[in-house]
Amino acid sequence: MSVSDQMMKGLLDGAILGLISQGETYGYEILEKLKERDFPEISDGSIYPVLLRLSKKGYVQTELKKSDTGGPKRKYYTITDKGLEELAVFRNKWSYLNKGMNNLMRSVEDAK
Amino acid sequence: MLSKEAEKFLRNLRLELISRGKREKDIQEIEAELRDHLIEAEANGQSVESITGNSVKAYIRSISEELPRNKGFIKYSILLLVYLLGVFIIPDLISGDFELNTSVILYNLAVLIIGTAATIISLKKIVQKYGDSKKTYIGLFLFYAPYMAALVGGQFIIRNHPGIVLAESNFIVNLIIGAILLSIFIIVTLILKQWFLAIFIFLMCLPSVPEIIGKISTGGSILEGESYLIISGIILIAVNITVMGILMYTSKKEDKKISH
Repeated sequence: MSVSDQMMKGLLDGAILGLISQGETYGYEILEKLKERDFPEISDGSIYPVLLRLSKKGYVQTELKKSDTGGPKRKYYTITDKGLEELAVFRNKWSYLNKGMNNLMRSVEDAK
Repeated sequence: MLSKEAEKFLRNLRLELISRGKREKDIQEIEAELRDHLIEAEANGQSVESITGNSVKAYIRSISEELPRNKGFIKYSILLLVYLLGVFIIPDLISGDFELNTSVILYNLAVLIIGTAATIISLKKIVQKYGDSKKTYIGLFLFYAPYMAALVGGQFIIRNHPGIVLAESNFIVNLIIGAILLSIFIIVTLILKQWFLAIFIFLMCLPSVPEIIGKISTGGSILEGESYLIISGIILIAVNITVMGILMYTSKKEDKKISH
């Protein structure tokens, strides 16, 4: 896995956790919201391993509800207290990282 | 409903996760979630590739990595291998034909390792390719017919070419060891509530019973002490039947209670 792929993998966990914190949602809707917000380089299926991971870590909880598509019951996600704590840590780290990376990348551009 | 490609992808996902020893509940949940996604995606004109990206295998692997393995998977796999070994050896022991030689060891190792691996891989490939269709049954027959022929052919070869004999065939000793092993196998399979496996190994030994009675009734060559041992062997088998009968009866009773 390339450096940029690894970076995207980590960021997607935080992005999805952020979306779920805004209210109960499900897989396809999460994907649509990510696309609406121009989250880059995401293949549709990549959100499901992330959702499994978030669920396994106890950051989100799930509930099966009747689907309006007439298909199988739909799995809805909501954030847990543990997930909110993790999201706060993520946001904090992201803001430092974003600032630091921007400074660093500017100096890389200046060097050119 | 879903396209054939989507159904095929979900079937492959299910088979792959089962073969990797994932829990049934988790498999059902992720399959239902992806089915829900695909219904919506296909309604919006998207294909299965939108989910899987370039590689179906890599995608299934990424899902599999996040699911915990069924804790009993390795334990049951080992038990099943031991059971298969028992199915191959115990009927021979009971009939008194068993002889420990290098050919027998090599044959059983080959059947257990190569045979089991070939069966799992072939079953998976056939079901993945043809799903729930007539072609699957034809495929299974085309695999099993030569496989069974190879098993029988192998038995024929090892009987004619025993290699180095490690322990001589002895009717009494074989019968006693066979009966004890059969008892253990039946009791363990019944404790694990695997009724089919208990009945199957018993049925595999059943054709040997007339042979045992025949050998005992010829009398003369068998010593008195040995006759006693044979009788005790037969009693052990009779005990097995009784235990199996009692356990099956009680289990059915419990099932009835649950259904009420």
